[in-house]
Amino acid sequence: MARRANEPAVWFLFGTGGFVAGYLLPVHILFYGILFPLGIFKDPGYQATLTVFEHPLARLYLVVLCFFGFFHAAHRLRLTLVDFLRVKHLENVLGLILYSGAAIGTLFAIYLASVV
Amino acid sequence: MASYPQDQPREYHRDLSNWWWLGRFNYLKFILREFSSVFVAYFLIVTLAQVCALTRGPAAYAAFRAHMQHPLVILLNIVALAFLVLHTITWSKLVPKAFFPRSHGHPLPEMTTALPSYIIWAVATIVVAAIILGA
Repeated sequence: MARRANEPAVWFLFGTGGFVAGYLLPVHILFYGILFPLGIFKDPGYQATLTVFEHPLARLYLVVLCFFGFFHAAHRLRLTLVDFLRVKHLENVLGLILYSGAAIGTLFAIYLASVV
Repeated sequence: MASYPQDQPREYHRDLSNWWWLGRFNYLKFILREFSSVFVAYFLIVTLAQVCALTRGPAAYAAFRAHMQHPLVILLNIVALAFLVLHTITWSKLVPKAFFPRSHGHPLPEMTTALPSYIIWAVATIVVAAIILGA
């Protein structure tokens, strides 16, 4: 039971990440993934989009979205794969791979936020 | 003292098919809901690729947009949007329920506990859409 000590922290990340990704990602997919590529709405283009992402709040937004979103996805995928593939014995290896991926994604977001 | 191996407790082992999640609609719904996390990660990576292209100049950003216009990518994004909507609805129903006080010993109706979350989702969507379109 000792390993439960970190669970509240993990759950805070996981729960908040579920809301952050759930509130913000659908509108990103809707515009950048569907409506702009289909030409239903006019894409504002390179310069205008760059100007938005250069704003300090937009950089913070990118880092927060990636940090919470990636850790939410990693945690949930770990639990799901263990149930789905029934590989309880691989849980720690899976966790290591998935959380490392989440950390790399977050670090890349911090790097991009600092250079954009 | 004689030993009776047949009396030793044995681990309970239930035969479970690898396809257990197809057995009932509820199991399938559970698996679909949980696998929404794959699409969360997918579009975060797309967003990072987008910002990365922005930092590398107009040509890189044009290449990113051309990639997004591929019919299979658009199809994938439609599937991703469906999974994200499933995720946000189920998350809004599930998580706030745990934080609301019970009234007279009964849990509040699901619509009441989920409503604040839906309102935040709507406001966030409108604000982000305004910024994206006004860019």
